[in-house]
Amino acid sequence: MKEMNDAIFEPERYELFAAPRYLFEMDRREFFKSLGGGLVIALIIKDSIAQESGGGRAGRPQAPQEISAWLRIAKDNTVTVYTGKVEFGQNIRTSLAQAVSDELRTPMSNIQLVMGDTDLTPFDVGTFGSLTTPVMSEQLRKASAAAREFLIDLAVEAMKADRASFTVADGKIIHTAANRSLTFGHLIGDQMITKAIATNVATTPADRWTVAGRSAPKVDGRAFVTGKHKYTSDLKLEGMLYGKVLRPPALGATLATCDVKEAQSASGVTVVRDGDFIGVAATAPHTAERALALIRAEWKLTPQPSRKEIFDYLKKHPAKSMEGRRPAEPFKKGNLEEGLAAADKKLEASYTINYIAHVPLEPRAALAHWQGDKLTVWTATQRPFGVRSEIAQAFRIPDSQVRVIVPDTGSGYGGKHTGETAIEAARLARAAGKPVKLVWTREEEFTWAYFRPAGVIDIASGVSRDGMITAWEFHNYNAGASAIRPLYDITNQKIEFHASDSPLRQGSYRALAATANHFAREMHIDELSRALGLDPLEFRYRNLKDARLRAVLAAAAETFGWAKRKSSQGRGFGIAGGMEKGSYVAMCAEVAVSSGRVKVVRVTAAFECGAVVNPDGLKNQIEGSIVMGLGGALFEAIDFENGKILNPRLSRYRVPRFSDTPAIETVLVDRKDLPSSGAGETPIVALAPAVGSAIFDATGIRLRSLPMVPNGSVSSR
Amino acid sequence: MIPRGFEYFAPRALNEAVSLLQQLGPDAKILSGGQSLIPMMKLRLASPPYIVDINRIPDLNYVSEANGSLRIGALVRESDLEISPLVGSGYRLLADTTKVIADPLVRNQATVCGNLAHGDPANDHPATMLALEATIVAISPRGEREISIRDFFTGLFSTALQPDEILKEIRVPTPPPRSGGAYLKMERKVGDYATAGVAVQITLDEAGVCQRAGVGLTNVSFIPLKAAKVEDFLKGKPLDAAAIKQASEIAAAESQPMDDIRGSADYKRDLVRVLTARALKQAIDRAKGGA
Amino acid sequence: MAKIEINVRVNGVEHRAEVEPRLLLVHFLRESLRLTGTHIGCDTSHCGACTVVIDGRAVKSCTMFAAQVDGREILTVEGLERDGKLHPLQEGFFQEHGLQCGYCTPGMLMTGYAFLNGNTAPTEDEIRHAISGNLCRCTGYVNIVKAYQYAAARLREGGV
Repeated sequence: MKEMNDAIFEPERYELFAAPRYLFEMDRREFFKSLGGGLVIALIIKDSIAQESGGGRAGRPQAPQEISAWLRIAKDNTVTVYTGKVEFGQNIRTSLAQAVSDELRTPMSNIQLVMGDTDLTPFDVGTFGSLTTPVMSEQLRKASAAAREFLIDLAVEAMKADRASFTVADGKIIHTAANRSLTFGHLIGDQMITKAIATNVATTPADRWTVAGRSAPKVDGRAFVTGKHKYTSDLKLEGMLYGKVLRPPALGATLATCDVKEAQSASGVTVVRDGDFIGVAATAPHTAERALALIRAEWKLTPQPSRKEIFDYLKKHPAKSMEGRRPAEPFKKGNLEEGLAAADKKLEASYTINYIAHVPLEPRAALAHWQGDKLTVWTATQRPFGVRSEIAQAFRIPDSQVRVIVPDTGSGYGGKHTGETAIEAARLARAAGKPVKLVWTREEEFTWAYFRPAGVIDIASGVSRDGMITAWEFHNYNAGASAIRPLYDITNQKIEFHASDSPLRQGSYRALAATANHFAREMHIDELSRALGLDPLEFRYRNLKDARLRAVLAAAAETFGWAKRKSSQGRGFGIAGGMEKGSYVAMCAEVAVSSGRVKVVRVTAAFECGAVVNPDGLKNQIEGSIVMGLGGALFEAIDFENGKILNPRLSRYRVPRFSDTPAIETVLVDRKDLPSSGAGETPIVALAPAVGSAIFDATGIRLRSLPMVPNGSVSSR
Repeated sequence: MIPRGFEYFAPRALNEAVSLLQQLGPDAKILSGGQSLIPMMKLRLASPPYIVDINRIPDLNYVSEANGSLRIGALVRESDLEISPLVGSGYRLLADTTKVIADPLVRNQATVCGNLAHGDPANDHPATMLALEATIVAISPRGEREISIRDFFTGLFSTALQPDEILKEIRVPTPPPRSGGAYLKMERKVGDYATAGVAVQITLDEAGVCQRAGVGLTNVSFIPLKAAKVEDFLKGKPLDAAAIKQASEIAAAESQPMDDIRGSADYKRDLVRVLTARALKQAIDRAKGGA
Repeated sequence: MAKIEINVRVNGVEHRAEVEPRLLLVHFLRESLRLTGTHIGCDTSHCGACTVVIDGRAVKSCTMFAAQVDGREILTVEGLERDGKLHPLQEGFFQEHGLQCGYCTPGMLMTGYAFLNGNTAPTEDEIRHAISGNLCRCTGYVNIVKAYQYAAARLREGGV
């Protein structure tokens, strides 16, 4: 767990705040009493990240802070699993149910998950960092295994038979010899049993999984294909109003004067002015828009850095404060000067990364409802408990007076960690005395959310004639520290992350900075191999002992036909690989360039994340990562000038579409002997360097800035 | 993203629409497909006080051949052209064009006539109609009149249509034998405007000499551009490789692109050169009976 | 502004309503009829999440006024299921893992419904072309094509 803890405090997680101030202890007995009948298994984790926070005492009993998840088996055989994780399209509602189904030996159809409801589920730090599969899945397996063993105990007692004579299958405890079986519900009956278990419970090894490890259709897929699923933006409460917020004309603007009289006089309109926050709530969306237009506000603008100077700016403006985080120490190994002196060839290059937006198809939305001093907010966030604290802080009330519920959400990709929409809706609802729904427009999404950080990466390296990297100096300004260290065996290294003051709000994005760091590193490796006249794959092998990375490189190359590739003017091939969050990826890309226009023709990805839980789900994540990654690699960039976002619409900000999709092959390297790690992020990291190297192969042009072809064309730059 | 309020009229006959326009004056806007107008209204780039929806007028949805030309009614959708066998076989340039406009969902609603009436040099049909030497039929209280496509585009987003006129029909001359055309567009993504586009329509004589040439350029000028110099150059020449090369260079010189998010002016000019050459080759192949 | 009366058939049910002329069809469906399966993703006619079928054609309901659908027949995602039986396309998206977050799915389904009505033996290229006006941020499109192919095969067998 030590490593996981470190992962959470990576320097680029700008949107993570310090732990909430309230850390009241909860009486465990009081909590269990509140759960009602049936068999309740709660998992106690002493060294868990769940300890980062706890609940408040007032109001509904909340889970003691050391409980990370629990499940409840009812008399009617239904199994309800409670987890603070949320479903954003990564399909964990299904994969977690598979894990429970496996351990409990009970059909998927009996299992229901309650997710991301701060009143019902135990504390959870958030759904990000690809932690659900390695951590939550394993925890639920333990709880399920404990429940199963306990049910056997009950059967032993009920039938007075030897423990070894029982098996568990299909939601029943079976005594084979006696040809008798008892359902879970029958064994539990009207009893109320609570069991708190520790983490040292044996779970089923991956090679004996029967439900997990296979593809399962999305558990509630029917609701999605019939339009019945209610996203936050679809919710409606009796008497609900529609909110709108007045946005400043530019980032960094502050309110000078404001006249809300005219807006206030409109019928059925509530206007709120609280500091720089100005918003309205009205009975219909267009009434709210009209009222907003009646507000006369003047803003004080301050000059802001623009995109054209951003890279220079980031290098010259180190972060003023790390906001309590520990500063990143440079990583040093060997002696860089000696390494450079020993080199036969040296290479210095600078790589740049533009800000990009997440563009989740469902824009941010929240529905806030106050009942007395208790607030319920339905909102789409990857951190329900974090957002609960944000709201509580904003309104100076205890966490316990806030309930955050996260309906399964229209994607996030790391972009929905924060609670601004929830707070805005709650502020309006408090003033209006009625529930208020606030749905951001696409333009608000593009302007007032946060972005994947821009950055500069400078690399200085040296290689010997026989193809060994002798020196590696790597400076990353602002992009972030994820996967900053190479897996290559380099004797002499210096690696440093420099936090900068970012003019735009920045935060997490699928795979964080691993994309930027892999882009710079793998492009540089490609440059080095070409400087030496070596095959890029062979060059990597010479400098790489890591067996898992070598294995995916080999698998990708084999399936792609790397050895048989035939480059020509206008047709090129590239390869790249890496590791992030415990998962290994390698990609080969083929591109065609004609009249300067770049088309990614084919991508082969080999991926290894330990034991595979749901092969189709995993392929979906890899294919999704490749297509999403194409945007940031080739053409996505936030354009901004003096505090204004210049391309806040999908007509101006280009995301990948069907026509951009290459032929994709995926190779899953299933390592049943290794624990499963998350897979939603890592596949994206290898795409840009594989494509960039292929563009070089096709054109002789080395593109060192992401996106590489903002106009869709190499020559138009 | 909600348009400003407006009054809505849905006339059931063409003469009713004409008199409404007269009555409401120049602030009224005609709604046909609405795929340009409604997005503009949502962004409040346009806020007409009156909308005259012509979609309920019968007999405006036809694609037919009569008196030596193809007639396209005011309510013909882009997707109607896309699936029309008549267009697919006899008017390849038109078929090419309609396939690359916006995206399939937009094409199900957008009208061909609206694409012209909008007067946007970034739209695709203007270049095509210029190459095809189309005629526009407009109707007003003064009756019908025909406008040559050469005179139709008068400025950025402005046309020869008077405020009380409705674009009723487009007439495209039926190409004589040994004719061929092609439209090539470079777009960054589906649904985007052209970075540049080239429409070519040619007629050859039996010896392969160019008798007639029409060339239109998309999104490389303020006003939809008829490449008259290229047309003059091509007429009377055998269309060999050298002629194609020279014609494409003239087209590049004739274009007047500007730097924007789709690329630099130089890049677009080069694109015009490349696309003109390719479109000419394809048009020649088609004129000779090839694909 | 004067309201307009419209009569429209949605998923087989007749509705009569008074609407403001500027009310967009997507808002009419979502707010007035509470058919929230039709989504809003972009506001600028780019994403196709709001696609519905009007008289057999797939169109973007964010780029139409409710006033325009007077007298017409609309099918939304809620109307695809018949007598508790999913349309083959719905099954396809389910079986072929054609959805992740599901937000684009209703639009993809409606585009596909209209497309497969005219062509139950599409090539992969035809499918990609047909669906090129719809945006998906999660799946990488590969499985969406498979979902269409699944549905096409079922429809050829006479699945519906």
